[in-house]
Amino acid sequence: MAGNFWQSSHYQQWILDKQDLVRERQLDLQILSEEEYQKIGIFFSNFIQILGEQLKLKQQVIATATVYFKRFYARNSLKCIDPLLLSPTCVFLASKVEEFGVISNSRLITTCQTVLKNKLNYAYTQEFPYRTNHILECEFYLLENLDCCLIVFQPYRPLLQLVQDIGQHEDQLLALAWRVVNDSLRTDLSCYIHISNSYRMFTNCMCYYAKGSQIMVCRAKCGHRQNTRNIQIYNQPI
Amino acid sequence: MDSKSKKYEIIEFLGEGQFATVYKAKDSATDNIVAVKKIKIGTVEDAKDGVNRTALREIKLLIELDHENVIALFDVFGHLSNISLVYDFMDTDLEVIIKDSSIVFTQSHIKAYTIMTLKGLEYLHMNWILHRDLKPNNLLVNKKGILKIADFGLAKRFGTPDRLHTHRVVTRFYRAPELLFGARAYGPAVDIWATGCIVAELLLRVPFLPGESDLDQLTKIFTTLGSPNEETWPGVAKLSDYVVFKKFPAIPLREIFTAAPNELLDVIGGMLNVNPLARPTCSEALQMPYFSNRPPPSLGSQLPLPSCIRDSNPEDLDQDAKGQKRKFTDYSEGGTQPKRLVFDNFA
Repeated sequence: MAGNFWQSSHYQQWILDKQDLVRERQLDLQILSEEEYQKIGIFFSNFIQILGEQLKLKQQVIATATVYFKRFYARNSLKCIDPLLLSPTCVFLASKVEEFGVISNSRLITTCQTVLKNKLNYAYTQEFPYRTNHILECEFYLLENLDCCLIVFQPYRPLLQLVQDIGQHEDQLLALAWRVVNDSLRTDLSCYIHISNSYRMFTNCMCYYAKGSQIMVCRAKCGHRQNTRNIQIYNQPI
Repeated sequence: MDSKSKKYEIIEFLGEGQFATVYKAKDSATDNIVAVKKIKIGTVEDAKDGVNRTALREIKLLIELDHENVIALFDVFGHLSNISLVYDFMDTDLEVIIKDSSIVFTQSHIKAYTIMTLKGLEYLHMNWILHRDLKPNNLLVNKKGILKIADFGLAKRFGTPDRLHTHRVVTRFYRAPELLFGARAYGPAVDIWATGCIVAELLLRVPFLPGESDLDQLTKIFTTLGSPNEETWPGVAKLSDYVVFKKFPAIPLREIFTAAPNELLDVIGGMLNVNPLARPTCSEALQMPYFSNRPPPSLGSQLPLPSCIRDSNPEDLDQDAKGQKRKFTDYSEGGTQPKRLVFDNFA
Protein backbone atom coordinates (compact mmCIF):
# COMPACT_ATOMS: atom_id res chain seq x y z
CA MET A 1 0.00 0.00 0.00
CA ALA A 2 1.37 3.30 -0.96
CA GLY A 3 -0.31 5.24 1.83
CA ASN A 4 1.61 6.90 4.58
CA PHE A 5 4.06 4.43 6.06
CA TRP A 6 4.72 6.63 9.08
CA GLN A 7 1.10 6.39 10.18
CA SER A 8 0.59 2.77 9.28
CA SER A 9 0.08 -0.10 11.67
CA HIS A 10 3.20 -1.61 10.16
CA TYR A 11 5.35 1.25 11.44
CA GLN A 12 3.47 1.99 14.65
CA GLN A 13 2.89 -1.52 15.93
CA TRP A 14 5.05 -3.94 14.07
CA ILE A 15 8.56 -2.59 14.01
CA LEU A 16 9.82 -4.80 16.78
CA ASP A 17 13.02 -4.42 18.73
CA LYS A 18 15.57 -7.11 18.62
CA GLN A 19 15.19 -7.39 22.39
CA ASP A 20 11.47 -8.07 22.06
CA LEU A 21 12.11 -10.87 19.63
CA VAL A 22 14.75 -12.41 21.85
CA ARG A 23 12.56 -12.15 24.94
CA GLU A 24 9.52 -13.67 23.31
CA ARG A 25 11.41 -16.67 22.06
CA GLN A 26 13.06 -17.56 25.36
CA LEU A 27 10.65 -20.43 25.86
CA ASP A 28 11.61 -21.97 22.56
CA LEU A 29 15.28 -21.32 23.16
CA GLN A 30 15.22 -23.49 26.26
CA ILE A 31 14.69 -26.40 23.91
CA LEU A 32 16.27 -25.23 20.70
CA SER A 33 19.52 -23.47 20.07
CA GLU A 34 19.42 -20.06 18.40
CA GLU A 35 20.71 -21.60 15.21
CA GLU A 36 18.09 -24.33 15.22
CA TYR A 37 15.39 -21.74 15.79
CA GLN A 38 16.59 -19.71 12.80
CA LYS A 39 16.76 -22.84 10.68
CA ILE A 40 13.16 -23.68 11.48
CA GLY A 41 12.20 -20.15 10.44
CA ILE A 42 14.07 -20.54 7.15
CA PHE A 43 12.56 -23.98 6.54
CA PHE A 44 8.99 -22.71 6.82
CA SER A 45 9.73 -19.52 4.88
CA ASN A 46 10.87 -21.85 2.12
CA PHE A 47 7.70 -23.88 2.50
CA ILE A 48 5.63 -20.70 2.08
CA GLN A 49 7.73 -19.69 -0.92
CA ILE A 50 7.30 -23.06 -2.64
CA LEU A 51 3.59 -23.14 -1.84
CA GLY A 52 3.17 -19.68 -3.31
CA GLU A 53 5.11 -20.54 -6.44
CA GLN A 54 3.08 -23.73 -6.94
CA LEU A 55 -0.11 -21.72 -6.54
CA LYS A 56 1.27 -19.15 -9.02
CA LEU A 57 0.96 -16.30 -6.55
CA LYS A 58 2.83 -13.05 -6.95
CA GLN A 59 5.94 -12.51 -4.86
CA GLN A 60 4.10 -9.71 -3.07
CA VAL A 61 1.58 -12.22 -1.68
CA ILE A 62 4.28 -14.68 -0.71
CA ALA A 63 6.19 -11.92 1.07
CA THR A 64 3.10 -10.80 2.98
CA ALA A 65 2.38 -14.39 4.00
CA THR A 66 5.95 -14.77 5.26
CA VAL A 67 5.69 -11.58 7.30
CA TYR A 68 2.42 -12.80 8.86
CA PHE A 69 4.21 -16.01 9.78
CA LYS A 70 7.10 -14.10 11.36
CA ARG A 71 4.79 -11.76 13.23
CA PHE A 72 2.80 -14.63 14.66
CA TYR A 73 5.87 -16.38 16.07
CA ALA A 74 7.33 -13.10 17.23
CA ARG A 75 4.59 -13.23 19.85
CA ASN A 76 4.02 -16.94 20.28
CA SER A 77 6.01 -20.04 20.89
CA LEU A 78 6.48 -22.51 18.08
CA LYS A 79 4.55 -24.98 20.24
CA CYS A 80 1.48 -22.75 20.14
CA ILE A 81 0.40 -23.65 16.61
CA ASP A 82 2.17 -26.15 14.37
CA PRO A 83 4.06 -24.05 11.81
CA LEU A 84 3.13 -26.67 9.24
CA LEU A 85 -0.48 -25.54 9.68
CA LEU A 86 0.26 -21.86 10.11
CA SER A 87 2.27 -21.59 6.87
CA PRO A 88 -0.58 -22.46 4.48
CA THR A 89 -2.94 -20.37 6.63
CA CYS A 90 -0.68 -17.34 6.15
CA VAL A 91 -0.70 -17.94 2.40
CA PHE A 92 -4.48 -18.24 2.47
CA LEU A 93 -5.00 -15.00 4.41
CA ALA A 94 -2.38 -13.07 2.43
CA SER A 95 -3.93 -14.04 -0.89
CA LYS A 96 -7.24 -12.66 0.30
CA VAL A 97 -5.75 -9.47 1.66
CA GLU A 98 -3.65 -8.71 -1.39
CA GLU A 99 -6.64 -9.49 -3.62
CA PHE A 100 -4.79 -11.47 -6.23
CA GLY A 101 -7.52 -13.88 -7.19
CA VAL A 102 -9.08 -16.57 -5.07
CA ILE A 103 -7.35 -19.73 -4.02
CA SER A 104 -9.81 -22.37 -3.06
CA ASN A 105 -9.16 -24.15 0.15
CA SER A 106 -9.19 -27.57 -1.43
CA ARG A 107 -6.56 -26.47 -3.93
CA LEU A 108 -4.45 -25.16 -1.09
CA ILE A 109 -4.64 -28.46 0.78
CA THR A 110 -3.83 -30.48 -2.34
CA THR A 111 -0.83 -28.26 -3.04
CA CYS A 112 0.36 -28.69 0.55
CA GLN A 113 0.16 -32.44 0.11
CA THR A 114 2.15 -32.47 -3.11
CA VAL A 115 4.77 -30.04 -1.88
CA LEU A 116 5.27 -32.04 1.29
CA LYS A 117 5.53 -35.27 -0.65
CA ASN A 118 7.75 -34.09 -3.47
CA LYS A 119 9.93 -31.33 -2.04
CA LEU A 120 10.02 -31.70 1.70
CA ASN A 121 10.02 -35.45 2.09
CA TYR A 122 13.44 -35.24 3.73
CA ALA A 123 11.74 -33.62 6.72
CA TYR A 124 8.26 -35.07 6.71
CA THR A 125 7.65 -38.74 6.08
CA GLN A 126 3.93 -38.78 6.67
CA GLU A 127 1.18 -37.04 4.71
CA PHE A 128 0.05 -33.47 5.23
CA PRO A 129 -2.20 -33.96 8.27
CA TYR A 130 -4.48 -30.90 8.10
CA ARG A 131 -7.83 -30.27 6.45
CA THR A 132 -9.87 -27.25 5.42
CA ASN A 133 -11.53 -26.76 8.79
CA HIS A 134 -8.12 -26.63 10.49
CA ILE A 135 -7.02 -23.84 8.20
CA LEU A 136 -10.23 -21.89 8.74
CA GLU A 137 -9.90 -22.14 12.49
CA CYS A 138 -6.25 -21.23 12.37
CA GLU A 139 -7.04 -18.20 10.21
CA PHE A 140 -9.04 -16.84 13.10
CA TYR A 141 -6.17 -17.14 15.54
CA LEU A 142 -3.80 -15.67 13.02
CA LEU A 143 -6.05 -12.65 12.48
CA GLU A 144 -6.32 -12.12 16.21
CA ASN A 145 -2.60 -12.42 16.84
CA LEU A 146 -1.85 -9.99 14.05
CA ASP A 147 -4.12 -7.51 15.86
CA CYS A 148 -5.98 -7.27 12.57
CA CYS A 149 -3.01 -5.41 11.05
CA LEU A 150 -3.06 -6.85 7.58
CA ILE A 151 -1.39 -4.31 5.37
CA VAL A 152 2.31 -4.96 5.10
CA PHE A 153 4.63 -2.59 3.30
CA GLN A 154 6.82 -4.51 0.91
CA PRO A 155 9.90 -3.08 -0.73
CA TYR A 156 9.35 -4.63 -4.16
CA ARG A 157 7.64 -1.70 -5.80
CA PRO A 158 9.89 0.98 -4.34
CA LEU A 159 12.77 -1.20 -5.47
CA LEU A 160 11.54 -1.18 -9.06
CA GLN A 161 11.27 2.59 -8.89
CA LEU A 162 14.64 2.99 -7.31
CA VAL A 163 16.40 0.88 -9.91
CA GLN A 164 14.61 2.78 -12.63
CA ASP A 165 15.74 6.06 -11.11
CA ILE A 166 19.34 4.90 -10.92
CA GLY A 167 18.95 4.11 -14.56
CA GLN A 168 21.92 1.93 -15.37
CA HIS A 169 22.54 -1.81 -15.58
CA GLU A 170 19.00 -2.27 -14.50
CA ASP A 171 18.55 -5.96 -15.12
CA GLN A 172 21.50 -7.29 -13.17
CA LEU A 173 21.02 -4.84 -10.37
CA LEU A 174 17.34 -5.54 -10.08
CA ALA A 175 17.71 -9.31 -10.08
CA LEU A 176 20.34 -9.14 -7.38
CA ALA A 177 18.46 -6.71 -5.19
CA TRP A 178 15.25 -8.65 -5.63
CA ARG A 179 16.97 -11.75 -4.32
CA VAL A 180 18.41 -9.85 -1.39
CA VAL A 181 14.92 -8.73 -0.46
CA ASN A 182 13.57 -12.26 -0.78
CA ASP A 183 16.33 -13.57 1.43
CA SER A 184 15.70 -10.90 4.04
CA LEU A 185 12.23 -12.40 4.46
CA ARG A 186 13.84 -15.53 5.80
CA THR A 187 15.53 -13.67 8.62
CA ASP A 188 14.33 -11.65 11.56
CA LEU A 189 14.75 -8.55 9.43
CA SER A 190 11.24 -8.89 8.03
CA CYS A 191 9.96 -8.19 11.53
CA TYR A 192 11.95 -5.36 12.89
CA ILE A 193 13.28 -3.68 9.89
CA HIS A 194 12.32 -0.20 9.08
CA ILE A 195 11.35 0.36 5.51
CA SER A 196 13.84 3.14 4.98
CA ASN A 197 16.52 0.90 6.40
CA SER A 198 15.45 -1.80 4.08
CA TYR A 199 16.06 0.54 1.18
CA ARG A 200 19.44 1.32 2.51
CA MET A 201 20.25 -2.27 3.20
CA PHE A 202 19.48 -3.56 -0.20
CA THR A 203 20.79 -0.60 -2.06
CA ASN A 204 24.06 -1.01 -0.27
CA CYS A 205 24.05 -4.71 -0.94
CA MET A 206 23.11 -4.48 -4.53
CA CYS A 207 25.48 -1.74 -5.26
CA TYR A 208 28.64 -3.64 -4.66
CA TYR A 209 28.62 -5.58 -7.79
CA ALA A 210 31.15 -5.94 -10.48
CA LYS A 211 30.69 -4.90 -14.01
CA GLY A 212 33.61 -5.67 -16.23
CA SER A 213 36.77 -4.58 -14.55
CA GLN A 214 35.12 -1.78 -12.72
CA ILE A 215 33.32 -2.00 -9.45
CA MET A 216 30.55 0.48 -9.25
CA VAL A 217 29.64 1.81 -5.92
CA CYS A 218 26.23 3.28 -5.87
CA ARG A 219 24.73 4.62 -2.77
CA ALA A 220 21.21 5.65 -2.57
CA LYS A 221 20.38 8.06 0.10
CA CYS A 222 16.81 7.85 1.15
CA GLY A 223 14.80 10.78 2.38
CA HIS A 224 12.14 10.41 4.97
CA ARG A 225 9.25 9.73 2.69
CA GLN A 226 8.91 7.48 -0.26
CA ASN A 227 7.93 10.25 -2.60
CA THR A 228 10.54 12.75 -1.51
CA ARG A 229 13.25 10.18 -1.92
CA ASN A 230 16.37 11.84 -2.95
CA ILE A 231 18.78 9.71 -4.76
CA GLN A 232 22.40 10.45 -4.99
CA ILE A 233 24.48 8.16 -7.00
CA TYR A 234 28.19 7.95 -6.83
CA ASN A 235 29.92 6.04 -9.53
CA GLN A 236 33.51 5.51 -8.70
CA PRO A 237 35.98 2.83 -9.57
CA ILE A 238 37.60 1.23 -6.55
CA MET B 1 -11.31 -13.33 20.99
CA ASP B 2 -14.20 -14.88 22.89
CA SER B 3 -13.93 -12.74 25.97
CA LYS B 4 -14.58 -9.58 24.01
CA SER B 5 -18.12 -10.50 23.04
CA LYS B 6 -19.06 -10.09 26.68
CA LYS B 7 -17.53 -6.65 26.71
CA TYR B 8 -20.37 -5.30 24.60
CA GLU B 9 -23.96 -5.23 25.81
CA ILE B 10 -26.44 -5.20 22.99
CA ILE B 11 -29.01 -2.42 23.36
CA GLU B 12 -31.08 -2.77 20.22
CA PHE B 13 -31.22 -4.20 16.73
CA LEU B 14 -30.49 -1.53 14.13
CA GLY B 15 -30.68 -3.14 10.77
CA GLU B 16 -29.76 -5.93 8.47
CA GLY B 17 -27.83 -5.86 5.23
CA GLN B 18 -26.77 -8.41 2.72
CA PHE B 19 -23.67 -9.43 4.60
CA ALA B 20 -24.26 -8.37 8.16
CA THR B 21 -26.56 -7.54 11.01
CA VAL B 22 -25.97 -4.33 12.93
CA TYR B 23 -26.68 -3.76 16.61
CA LYS B 24 -26.43 -0.76 18.86
CA ALA B 25 -24.39 -1.73 21.88
CA LYS B 26 -22.68 -0.36 24.95
CA ASP B 27 -19.04 -0.92 25.70
CA SER B 28 -19.30 -2.06 29.31
CA ALA B 29 -15.78 -0.89 30.10
CA THR B 30 -16.13 2.70 28.95
CA ASP B 31 -19.92 3.14 28.64
CA ASN B 32 -19.43 4.35 25.08
CA ILE B 33 -22.22 3.62 22.66
CA VAL B 34 -20.95 1.71 19.65
CA ALA B 35 -22.31 -0.08 16.62
CA VAL B 36 -21.54 -3.79 16.37
CA LYS B 37 -21.69 -5.29 12.93
CA LYS B 38 -21.96 -9.03 13.00
CA ILE B 39 -20.93 -10.61 9.73
CA LYS B 40 -23.30 -13.34 8.62
CA ILE B 41 -22.00 -16.73 7.81
CA GLY B 42 -23.63 -17.21 4.47
CA THR B 43 -23.92 -20.41 2.57
CA VAL B 44 -21.67 -23.43 2.93
CA GLU B 45 -19.75 -22.13 -0.07
CA ASP B 46 -18.94 -18.88 1.71
CA ALA B 47 -17.92 -20.69 4.86
CA LYS B 48 -15.24 -22.52 2.91
CA ASP B 49 -13.63 -19.20 2.12
CA GLY B 50 -12.91 -18.54 5.77
CA VAL B 51 -13.14 -15.01 7.12
CA ASN B 52 -15.52 -13.09 4.90
CA ARG B 53 -13.72 -11.05 2.26
CA THR B 54 -15.88 -8.01 2.67
CA ALA B 55 -15.16 -7.99 6.40
CA LEU B 56 -11.50 -8.51 5.71
CA ARG B 57 -11.42 -5.49 3.41
CA GLU B 58 -13.05 -3.33 6.06
CA ILE B 59 -10.65 -4.56 8.71
CA LYS B 60 -7.47 -4.17 6.73
CA LEU B 61 -8.30 -0.67 5.49
CA LEU B 62 -10.06 0.87 8.47
CA ILE B 63 -7.37 -0.20 10.89
CA GLU B 64 -4.96 2.02 8.98
CA LEU B 65 -7.25 5.02 8.72
CA ASP B 66 -7.94 7.83 11.14
CA HIS B 67 -9.94 10.84 10.01
CA GLU B 68 -12.87 12.75 11.40
CA ASN B 69 -14.95 12.08 8.31
CA VAL B 70 -14.17 8.39 7.98
CA ILE B 71 -15.84 5.82 10.21
CA ALA B 72 -13.55 4.47 12.93
CA LEU B 73 -13.13 0.78 13.61
CA PHE B 74 -12.56 0.30 17.33
CA ASP B 75 -12.40 -3.40 17.70
CA VAL B 76 -12.78 -6.76 16.05
CA PHE B 77 -13.86 -9.86 17.86
CA GLY B 78 -14.91 -13.31 16.90
CA HIS B 79 -16.95 -16.06 18.33
CA LEU B 80 -16.87 -19.56 16.85
CA SER B 81 -16.75 -18.82 13.15
CA ASN B 82 -18.55 -15.51 13.50
CA ILE B 83 -16.75 -12.24 13.21
CA SER B 84 -17.96 -8.90 14.52
CA LEU B 85 -16.66 -5.40 13.90
CA VAL B 86 -17.13 -2.55 16.34
CA TYR B 87 -17.56 0.99 14.98
CA ASP B 88 -18.46 4.51 16.02
CA PHE B 89 -22.17 4.68 16.69
CA MET B 90 -23.85 6.89 14.11
CA ASP B 91 -27.44 8.02 14.55
CA THR B 92 -28.55 8.24 10.96
CA ASP B 93 -27.40 8.50 7.38
CA LEU B 94 -27.67 11.03 4.61
CA GLU B 95 -30.29 9.04 2.75
CA VAL B 96 -32.69 9.25 5.68
CA ILE B 97 -32.01 12.97 6.01
CA ILE B 98 -32.56 13.60 2.29
CA LYS B 99 -35.80 11.65 2.27
CA ASP B 100 -37.21 13.33 5.39
CA SER B 101 -39.66 15.83 3.95
CA SER B 102 -39.88 17.75 7.22
CA ILE B 103 -36.30 18.93 6.73
CA VAL B 104 -35.55 21.98 4.65
CA PHE B 105 -31.95 22.31 3.52
CA THR B 106 -30.32 25.70 3.46
CA GLN B 107 -27.31 26.48 1.29
CA SER B 108 -25.16 26.24 4.42
CA HIS B 109 -26.39 22.71 5.14
CA ILE B 110 -25.57 21.53 1.64
CA LYS B 111 -22.17 23.14 1.79
CA ALA B 112 -21.41 21.50 5.14
CA TYR B 113 -22.34 18.00 3.94
CA THR B 114 -20.37 18.44 0.72
CA ILE B 115 -17.27 19.64 2.54
CA MET B 116 -17.36 16.77 5.04
CA THR B 117 -17.78 14.21 2.26
CA LEU B 118 -14.96 15.69 0.22
CA LYS B 119 -12.61 15.90 3.19
CA GLY B 120 -13.17 12.26 4.08
CA LEU B 121 -12.77 11.25 0.47
CA GLU B 122 -9.66 13.36 0.03
CA TYR B 123 -8.12 11.50 2.95
CA LEU B 124 -9.00 8.14 1.40
CA HIS B 125 -7.58 9.09 -1.96
CA MET B 126 -4.41 10.41 -0.34
CA ASN B 127 -4.05 6.97 1.19
CA TRP B 128 -4.54 5.38 -2.23
CA ILE B 129 -7.92 3.93 -1.43
CA LEU B 130 -10.89 3.97 -3.76
CA HIS B 131 -14.20 3.71 -1.95
CA ARG B 132 -16.21 2.49 -4.95
CA ASP B 133 -19.59 2.55 -3.25
CA LEU B 134 -20.36 6.14 -2.34
CA LYS B 135 -24.06 6.87 -1.94
CA PRO B 136 -26.13 8.80 0.62
CA ASN B 137 -26.85 5.54 2.43
CA ASN B 138 -23.13 5.05 3.12
CA LEU B 139 -22.57 8.55 4.44
CA LEU B 140 -23.43 8.24 8.10
CA VAL B 141 -24.30 11.24 10.25
CA ASN B 142 -24.31 11.43 14.02
CA LYS B 143 -26.26 13.63 16.39
CA LYS B 144 -23.46 16.17 16.43
CA GLY B 145 -23.92 16.59 12.70
CA ILE B 146 -20.62 14.99 11.76
CA LEU B 147 -20.65 13.04 8.54
CA LYS B 148 -18.50 9.95 8.19
CA ILE B 149 -17.87 7.78 5.15
CA ALA B 150 -18.67 4.15 5.90
CA ASP B 151 -18.95 0.74 4.27
CA PHE B 152 -15.59 -0.22 2.86
CA GLY B 153 -16.83 -3.56 1.55
CA LEU B 154 -15.93 -2.64 -2.02
CA ALA B 155 -13.00 -0.38 -1.27
CA LYS B 156 -9.70 -1.16 -2.89
CA ARG B 157 -6.19 0.15 -2.97
CA PHE B 158 -5.28 1.73 -6.28
CA GLY B 159 -2.17 3.10 -7.91
CA THR B 160 -0.43 0.02 -9.26
CA PRO B 161 -0.45 0.70 -12.99
CA ASP B 162 -0.68 -2.90 -14.16
CA ARG B 163 -3.47 -3.91 -11.81
CA LEU B 164 -6.93 -3.90 -13.22
CA HIS B 165 -10.11 -3.47 -11.26
CA THR B 166 -13.58 -4.77 -11.92
CA HIS B 167 -16.04 -2.31 -13.41
CA ARG B 168 -18.95 -3.90 -11.58
CA VAL B 169 -18.81 -1.53 -8.66
CA VAL B 170 -20.82 1.38 -7.24
CA THR B 171 -24.59 1.42 -6.92
CA ARG B 172 -26.02 2.14 -10.35
CA PHE B 173 -27.40 5.66 -9.77
CA TYR B 174 -23.96 6.82 -8.71
CA ARG B 175 -21.91 4.85 -11.22
CA ALA B 176 -19.61 6.85 -13.45
CA PRO B 177 -19.90 6.56 -17.26
CA GLU B 178 -16.43 5.00 -17.63
CA LEU B 179 -17.52 2.13 -15.38
CA LEU B 180 -20.69 1.65 -17.40
CA PHE B 181 -18.50 1.49 -20.52
CA GLY B 182 -16.49 -1.31 -18.93
CA ALA B 183 -13.27 0.50 -17.98
CA ARG B 184 -10.88 -1.72 -16.02
CA ALA B 185 -8.23 0.89 -15.32
CA TYR B 186 -9.91 3.73 -13.49
CA GLY B 187 -9.12 5.94 -10.56
CA PRO B 188 -10.41 8.37 -7.93
CA ALA B 189 -12.60 10.05 -10.55
CA VAL B 190 -15.24 7.33 -10.06
CA ASP B 191 -15.66 8.44 -6.44
CA ILE B 192 -15.79 12.08 -7.53
CA TRP B 193 -18.60 11.28 -9.95
CA ALA B 194 -20.55 9.60 -7.16
CA THR B 195 -19.97 12.63 -4.93
CA GLY B 196 -21.28 14.88 -7.73
CA CYS B 197 -24.44 12.77 -7.89
CA ILE B 198 -24.84 13.04 -4.13
CA VAL B 199 -24.50 16.84 -4.15
CA ALA B 200 -27.08 17.01 -6.93
CA GLU B 201 -29.34 14.78 -4.85
CA LEU B 202 -28.99 17.15 -1.88
CA LEU B 203 -30.42 19.88 -4.09
CA LEU B 204 -33.16 17.85 -5.77
CA ARG B 205 -34.04 15.60 -2.81
CA VAL B 206 -34.43 12.67 -5.23
CA PRO B 207 -31.68 10.66 -6.98
CA PHE B 208 -30.31 12.78 -9.80
CA LEU B 209 -29.79 10.04 -12.40
CA PRO B 210 -32.02 7.08 -11.48
CA GLY B 211 -31.31 4.60 -14.26
CA GLU B 212 -33.40 1.45 -14.47
CA SER B 213 -30.72 -0.63 -16.15
CA ASP B 214 -27.07 -0.07 -17.01
CA LEU B 215 -27.99 1.08 -20.48
CA ASP B 216 -30.75 3.30 -19.18
CA GLN B 217 -28.25 4.77 -16.72
CA LEU B 218 -26.01 5.81 -19.62
CA THR B 219 -28.99 7.22 -21.47
CA LYS B 220 -29.99 9.26 -18.42
CA ILE B 221 -26.44 10.55 -18.03
CA PHE B 222 -26.05 11.58 -21.66
CA THR B 223 -29.51 13.05 -22.16
CA THR B 224 -28.84 15.25 -19.14
CA LEU B 225 -25.15 16.06 -19.51
CA GLY B 226 -24.68 15.60 -23.24
CA SER B 227 -23.32 12.57 -25.07
CA PRO B 228 -19.56 12.24 -25.26
CA ASN B 229 -17.44 12.31 -28.38
CA GLU B 230 -13.71 12.08 -29.01
CA GLU B 231 -13.44 15.79 -28.36
CA THR B 232 -15.19 16.00 -25.02
CA TRP B 233 -13.82 12.66 -23.84
CA PRO B 234 -10.71 11.55 -25.74
CA GLY B 235 -10.37 7.78 -25.90
CA VAL B 236 -13.96 6.98 -25.01
CA ALA B 237 -14.46 4.81 -28.08
CA LYS B 238 -11.65 2.51 -26.98
CA LEU B 239 -13.47 1.35 -23.85
CA SER B 240 -14.55 -2.26 -24.11
CA ASP B 241 -18.31 -1.80 -23.69
CA TYR B 242 -18.53 1.45 -25.61
CA VAL B 243 -21.77 1.99 -27.48
CA VAL B 244 -22.45 4.95 -29.71
CA PHE B 245 -25.23 7.18 -28.50
CA LYS B 246 -27.35 9.57 -30.43
CA LYS B 247 -26.11 13.11 -30.11
CA PHE B 248 -27.76 14.72 -27.13
CA PRO B 249 -27.09 18.32 -26.19
CA ALA B 250 -26.32 19.01 -22.54
CA ILE B 251 -29.11 20.56 -20.52
CA PRO B 252 -27.73 23.66 -18.80
CA LEU B 253 -27.34 22.85 -15.10
CA ARG B 254 -28.99 26.17 -14.31
CA GLU B 255 -32.27 24.77 -15.67
CA ILE B 256 -32.06 21.65 -13.53
CA PHE B 257 -30.92 23.26 -10.30
CA THR B 258 -32.90 26.46 -10.33
CA ALA B 259 -32.13 27.43 -6.75
CA ALA B 260 -28.42 26.73 -6.68
CA PRO B 261 -25.80 29.50 -6.73
CA ASN B 262 -23.47 29.63 -9.72
CA GLU B 263 -20.40 28.55 -7.75
CA LEU B 264 -22.20 25.36 -6.70
CA LEU B 265 -23.14 24.67 -10.31
CA ASP B 266 -19.43 24.93 -11.15
CA VAL B 267 -18.68 22.31 -8.52
CA ILE B 268 -21.38 19.94 -9.75
CA GLY B 269 -20.48 20.55 -13.38
CA GLY B 270 -16.84 19.73 -12.67
CA MET B 271 -17.56 16.57 -10.74
CA LEU B 272 -20.08 15.36 -13.29
CA ASN B 273 -17.83 15.87 -16.29
CA VAL B 274 -18.27 12.78 -18.45
CA ASN B 275 -14.54 12.72 -19.12
CA PRO B 276 -12.98 11.23 -15.96
CA LEU B 277 -9.66 12.99 -16.56
CA ALA B 278 -11.36 16.37 -16.56
CA ARG B 279 -13.03 15.91 -13.16
CA PRO B 280 -11.31 17.71 -10.30
CA THR B 281 -9.59 15.76 -7.53
CA CYS B 282 -10.99 16.16 -4.03
CA SER B 283 -8.31 18.67 -3.13
CA GLU B 284 -8.95 20.68 -6.29
CA ALA B 285 -12.68 20.60 -5.68
CA LEU B 286 -12.25 21.87 -2.12
CA GLN B 287 -10.26 24.81 -3.49
CA MET B 288 -13.14 25.94 -5.70
CA PRO B 289 -14.63 29.35 -4.80
CA TYR B 290 -17.95 27.82 -3.69
CA PHE B 291 -16.39 26.49 -0.52
CA SER B 292 -14.78 29.73 0.56
CA ASN B 293 -17.63 32.06 -0.42
CA ARG B 294 -20.53 33.06 1.76
CA PRO B 295 -22.66 31.66 3.27
CA PRO B 296 -20.31 29.64 5.48
CA PRO B 297 -21.09 25.95 6.00
CA SER B 298 -23.33 25.15 8.97
CA LEU B 299 -21.74 24.03 12.17
CA GLY B 300 -22.45 20.42 13.05
CA SER B 301 -24.91 21.42 15.75
CA GLN B 302 -26.99 23.40 13.28
CA LEU B 303 -27.43 20.56 10.84
CA PRO B 304 -30.89 19.03 10.67
CA LEU B 305 -31.77 15.65 12.15
CA PRO B 306 -34.49 13.40 10.77
CA SER B 307 -37.80 13.39 12.62
CA CYS B 308 -37.38 9.82 13.89
CA ILE B 309 -34.35 10.87 15.94
CA ARG B 310 -35.81 14.19 17.07
CA ASP B 311 -38.88 12.37 18.37
CA SER B 312 -37.05 9.57 20.12
CA ASN B 313 -34.81 11.86 22.21
CA PRO B 314 -36.85 14.93 23.08
CA GLU B 315 -34.77 15.86 26.15
CA ASP B 316 -31.42 15.75 24.41
CA LEU B 317 -32.71 17.78 21.61
CA ASP B 318 -34.36 20.37 23.76
CA GLN B 319 -31.04 21.09 25.32
CA ASP B 320 -29.33 21.15 21.99
CA ALA B 321 -31.95 23.44 20.54
CA LYS B 322 -31.68 25.82 23.46
CA GLY B 323 -27.93 25.92 23.15
CA GLN B 324 -28.23 26.50 19.47
CA LYS B 325 -30.77 29.24 19.80
CA ARG B 326 -28.70 31.02 22.35
CA LYS B 327 -25.64 30.84 20.17
CA PHE B 328 -27.61 32.00 17.24
CA THR B 329 -29.05 35.09 18.90
CA ASP B 330 -25.66 35.91 20.33
CA TYR B 331 -24.26 35.76 16.86
CA SER B 332 -26.91 37.91 15.24
CA GLU B 333 -26.93 40.46 17.99
CA GLY B 334 -23.19 40.48 18.48
CA GLY B 335 -21.72 43.94 18.19
CA THR B 336 -24.94 45.88 17.91
CA GLN B 337 -26.16 45.51 21.47
CA PRO B 338 -24.14 45.82 24.62
CA LYS B 339 -23.41 42.47 26.14
CA ARG B 340 -25.69 41.61 29.00
CA LEU B 341 -24.78 39.17 31.67
CA VAL B 342 -27.66 36.93 32.56
CA PHE B 343 -27.65 35.13 35.84
CA ASP B 344 -30.30 32.51 35.43
CA ASN B 345 -29.73 31.21 38.92
CA PHE B 346 -30.71 34.42 40.57
CA ALA B 347 -33.90 34.94 38.66
